[in-house]
Amino acid sequence: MTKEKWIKVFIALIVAIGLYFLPYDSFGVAINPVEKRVISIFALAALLWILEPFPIWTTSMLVIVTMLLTVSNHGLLFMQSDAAGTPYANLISYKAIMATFADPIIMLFLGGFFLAAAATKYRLDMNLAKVLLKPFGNNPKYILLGLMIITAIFSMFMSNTATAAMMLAILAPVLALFDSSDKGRAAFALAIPVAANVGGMGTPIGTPPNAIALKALADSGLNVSFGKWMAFGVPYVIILILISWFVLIKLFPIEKKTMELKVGDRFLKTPKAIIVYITFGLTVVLWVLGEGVHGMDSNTVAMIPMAVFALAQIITKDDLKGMSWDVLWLVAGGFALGLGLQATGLAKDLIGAISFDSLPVVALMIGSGFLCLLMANFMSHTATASLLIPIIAAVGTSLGTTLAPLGGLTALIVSVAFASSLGMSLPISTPPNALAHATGFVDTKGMAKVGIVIGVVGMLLTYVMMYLLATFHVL
Amino acid sequence: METINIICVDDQSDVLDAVTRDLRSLEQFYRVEGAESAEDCLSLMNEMDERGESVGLVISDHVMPGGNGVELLQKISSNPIFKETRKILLTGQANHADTIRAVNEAHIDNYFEKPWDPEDLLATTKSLLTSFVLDKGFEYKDFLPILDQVVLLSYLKKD
Amino acid sequence: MFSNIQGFMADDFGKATVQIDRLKRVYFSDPANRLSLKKGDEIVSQGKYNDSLFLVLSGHVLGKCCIESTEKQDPSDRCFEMFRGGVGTFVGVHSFFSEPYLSFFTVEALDDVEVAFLKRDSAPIEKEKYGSLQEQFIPMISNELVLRNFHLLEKSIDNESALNRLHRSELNASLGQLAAGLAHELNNAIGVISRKTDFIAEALDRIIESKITEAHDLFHLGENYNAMISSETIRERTRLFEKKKNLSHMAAKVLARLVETEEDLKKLDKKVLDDFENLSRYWELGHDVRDIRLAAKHAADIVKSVRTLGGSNFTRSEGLSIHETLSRAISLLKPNLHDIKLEVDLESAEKMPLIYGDMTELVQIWVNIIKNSCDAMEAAETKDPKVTIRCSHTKTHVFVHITDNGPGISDGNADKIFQMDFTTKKNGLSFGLGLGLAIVQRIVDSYGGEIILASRPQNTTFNIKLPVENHYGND
Repeated sequence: MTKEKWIKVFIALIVAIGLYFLPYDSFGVAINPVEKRVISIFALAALLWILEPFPIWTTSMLVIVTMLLTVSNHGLLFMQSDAAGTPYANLISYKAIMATFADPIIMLFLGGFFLAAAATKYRLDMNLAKVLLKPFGNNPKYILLGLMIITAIFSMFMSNTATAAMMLAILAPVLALFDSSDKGRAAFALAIPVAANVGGMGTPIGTPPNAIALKALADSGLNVSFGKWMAFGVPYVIILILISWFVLIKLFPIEKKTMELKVGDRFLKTPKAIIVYITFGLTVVLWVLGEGVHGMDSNTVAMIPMAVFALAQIITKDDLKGMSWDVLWLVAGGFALGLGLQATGLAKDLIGAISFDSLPVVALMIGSGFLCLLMANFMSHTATASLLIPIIAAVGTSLGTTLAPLGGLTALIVSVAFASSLGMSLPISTPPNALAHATGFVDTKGMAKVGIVIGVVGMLLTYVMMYLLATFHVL
Repeated sequence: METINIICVDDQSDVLDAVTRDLRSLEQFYRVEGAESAEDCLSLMNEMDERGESVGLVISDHVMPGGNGVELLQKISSNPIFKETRKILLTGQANHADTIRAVNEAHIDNYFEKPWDPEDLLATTKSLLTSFVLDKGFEYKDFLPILDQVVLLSYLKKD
Repeated sequence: MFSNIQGFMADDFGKATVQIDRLKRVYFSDPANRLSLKKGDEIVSQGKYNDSLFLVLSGHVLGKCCIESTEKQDPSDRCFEMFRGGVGTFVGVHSFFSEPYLSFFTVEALDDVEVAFLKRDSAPIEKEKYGSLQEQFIPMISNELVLRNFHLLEKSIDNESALNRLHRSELNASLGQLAAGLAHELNNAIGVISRKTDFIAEALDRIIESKITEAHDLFHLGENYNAMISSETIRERTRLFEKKKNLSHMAAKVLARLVETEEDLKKLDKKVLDDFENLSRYWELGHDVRDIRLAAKHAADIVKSVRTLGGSNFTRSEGLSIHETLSRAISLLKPNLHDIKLEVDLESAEKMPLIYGDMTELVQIWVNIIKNSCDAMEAAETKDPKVTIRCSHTKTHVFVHITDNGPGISDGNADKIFQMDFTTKKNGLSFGLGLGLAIVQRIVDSYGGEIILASRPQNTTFNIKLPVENHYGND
């Protein structure tokens, strides 16, 4: 096991170092050593994320530290200037690299974590699930739809993994009562990861790729507010959930006639619980209303629940320790990679060398989307987005107005972000998929079938939506 | 992937053999080792620790020469290195007072009477190791096929 | 029996005061007032008139009181012993002094008895100084009263311990019965287990021989496995083979038990070694058969040792070798010896004459004594525990000396250890019932042998002396 791990690390290092010594002049691009180093770091990160010899968040940390040492203005001395002693002009400010971990979008996510942790702690999630499930009756088909909708809604505010774990924990005892020949078990087991992954696309904080997209957009001067994202994200989620539901009940017809789910109990009415309900509701309202109404951008709004929950001792020191800091590091690493491409001028130099003008824009958009979808099936969604979005963003910027009929840069980046969330055809694609597969109610084949159908349909739906939005000048 | 060990302790080699065999299906993910005495078990644990492996579970016989099982488990639970190590007492003679002591002082997680039900033992082992993996913060995905679903999901819910 | 009542010696009562001596001298020295009685003659009779006070001058008398039977089945009267007396005992005390002068007991001569007597109408001597006849005799009366009470006390203590003895022997008898019954049932079950194991083993043997030839040897090796390798060594070798032979942990573990050195490894068939990953389980299969057989045998041995209690049917005969009984006992004990060193002076054992006896019984003796030593040393955590066995003999007797360096047996316990229900072990299993040494005592007694215990800390020796020839007939 460890041998394999070292081979992977070795491969990644060899490729990264090899790239550094390749003569780039052959590409017809003049790039300086700092840019070369960024290319090496990018390749190293890509390989480590793909091969995964160690947890992906550690690669992010490695990216940040390596960048600080090799391409920052406070890195190793011999890295800062050329042989003649002239300092490189395109070194990145070390503060900017470090700041990736305190980026406003990271804060937005942290705010989301606080909301999720508080909601779980005061059983808001389970109790809401109970209320929301009620209208779906006892028919398994509609309960399936209900579960998917609830999972999607929760996943918009909670991590996809936590949502999937919660819903599977509710489902598992019920599925055990199904006949072992009933294909419906697979429908239910698959519905959870599908809905969790799809639901994540609904809000900026739903899943980390959204954060990468938001950051790239912000860097290009395009601010997509929380409300605006939801304005296209939520309808998209609703439609895709309905399609997925339809696909699931067609592929895995449920034989069982009735079923009953026991979820949650009474809503807590303690002062702290009430603070959680109000804060949660208020934060969402503030996010949806947006800057135009109250002046606070969504990142700032995200800080409000943090202060409230901390002061009310709803989130304690232990809860704070238990948060998914690894996810934040992972995202920060993605930001740092983007920063490296942009701030050293590498993106501009590379893109300038290739004439994208000759490429059909539609092909570019669809090609990048499907490449992203493919990658996301085999590696972490966040890592995929971290690798592709900075490049796509650079390409998109260079294209300028030719993109406008398709929805502009926003449409391009969002579609890539969505593509990265649609990778769900394998157990290894996402943690929710792995959990569903581990229940034993669904096999890899079934998962692949559903994953591919929903991935492709989801991509097409994305393009249709982007086209419509562009046509009606919403974007 | 972390190396997680399960140590079975019994002075009777045939019983030891039977316990380790019952846990064989876990070998793909955990190492199952046998120790003949309490002392042997403790030195084995130190050895594993030095190699950078962890001890996820100790299943100890109750009455053994050279150190009773309860005392062994007590020693383990008072060692900060093995704070998270899960403990099962396998006893041929459930004596009320001793069992209470085992629960109170050795903080055992479970106890089985001989002869034990292998499926039961396996299920308990799985669930104890699931919580061990998660408490230790190990990459749970490495062990996913062998983790106890209920324990796993309830941990991840809080994520 | 007992001789002490707190503060008094029994004899004190007999050695009466000066006053009583005076009475005897002045009232009973007239040779005319003497009677000679034959054995069985009654001095006074229960319920009969009496006007004399008798003093026994020689011989023994018995006082008894008879009660009319109330039982219809057994109409004969029941008589109880009230006192026994000899020289100096007064007879007729009650009827002499108290109206209506009827005797309360019958007092009869136990052998030829000579008594002196005093008639009631005799005049008091020195009346002025000592008072009336009654007054003068008060010390005698009270003394006689105490003596008789004392006698009754003695009787009742005797009775009580007789009852205890009876109770215990009944308990032992029922324990013996229980053991015999249990032994019968268990023997049946064990018999089925061993026979069926043999059938299965034979069937497996045939199947493996014909179908998987290369595994046949491995199966046999497992079946006859008898090496004593510490688990530490096994673990070390397992790690080695895992790496060197590229085996799984489980197969490597089997190989580690199978071979002791690299040399042994070479001896193994190449074909077997190449496919060891698969073939290793045939060794395990054989080993399982072996374990079942050993466990059945162990159970049978325990049953046998318990059955000895119930006094069962062993056949003793001429020509039993002490040496053989010792080596059997040792092989039985071996699995339980652990760290304890066992030294046997084989030379002296081989020289021993053949004796009359039963193998199982003698093995029982050695096993129980050695086991007892081991347990004591383990409980006391003796350092470098060691048991030494030495033999010696004379023309008529053999001696086996079993010595340990354990904590020793305290003087207080030395008498008790051979009692049926005595144990110092709290946690023992098979022999902690307090039966072990009781069995030994029983068997040795039945041979007309002897156990001599010499114990001090660090050196406790059980010397067992057994006759060479049959002294006691067949049981």
